[in-house]
Amino acid sequence: MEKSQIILEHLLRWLTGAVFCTAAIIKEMDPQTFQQEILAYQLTGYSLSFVIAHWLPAMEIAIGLGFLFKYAYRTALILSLGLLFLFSIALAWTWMQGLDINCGCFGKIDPVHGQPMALLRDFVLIGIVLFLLRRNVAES
Amino acid sequence: MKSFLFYGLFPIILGILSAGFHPNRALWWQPKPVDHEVALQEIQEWKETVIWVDARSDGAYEEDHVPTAIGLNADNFETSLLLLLERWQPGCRVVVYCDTLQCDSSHEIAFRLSEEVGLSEVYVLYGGWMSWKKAR
Repeated sequence: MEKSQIILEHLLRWLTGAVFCTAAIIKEMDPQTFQQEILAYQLTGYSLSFVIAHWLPAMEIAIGLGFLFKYAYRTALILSLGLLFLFSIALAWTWMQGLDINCGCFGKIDPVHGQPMALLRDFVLIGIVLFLLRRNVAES
Repeated sequence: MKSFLFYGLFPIILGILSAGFHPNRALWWQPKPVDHEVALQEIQEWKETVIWVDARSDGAYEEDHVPTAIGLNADNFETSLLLLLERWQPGCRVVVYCDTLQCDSSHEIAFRLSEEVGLSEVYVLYGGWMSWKKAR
């Protein structure tokens, strides 16, 4: 039982790391388009969206690498939870406002369309990270 | 300390490098409309008939588009041009749009419509499809 939990933990850790790194690389390939997706949320102006468009992918890369290589792992877990909650709140807000937007999480290749599915995906990731955090706390 | 360096400084440095050197970096301020670009608000005040042209991919057009817009892009230019010409009459204004402020396809199609086809009064929607969705 314990061995299967360890294997599951590794798989989920690598998967989450890969998800964050992939999302970051896609955003970093075209910051201008990512900025337009941020602006579509109607939560920021150009200047703040400029900062987010360049800082967020870099942060996601750091978190992704933290997951993949288990480097400063506890911090990666907490930061990823924070980001995922922020994304969920922003998505929920646009859904309540009736805005028809793309999540912006994986650029144009994102297979998920619409806020409900993007929120579901976020909740699944939050669940995975909470599981990993619980395992990490139990280990230490 | 290592957490601060890795999750604090590393993203900031990487972000600054990206903002400074990325060929397609984000915009610090909203660019002003150029030449034949027109904002949606201004188009809505026009009295002339407007023919909308969607220069995005066929897939994007099929998913959603400005009502009555003709899907005309570089791939289907010749065939969709016939649809446009059936609808066009002297005095009409043609407005071309693509995804966002930065996409080029609307400008390319607008250029072809004015230079190759010889239509007058061809414009590009400032902000593209995103500006339409925002106003909806």
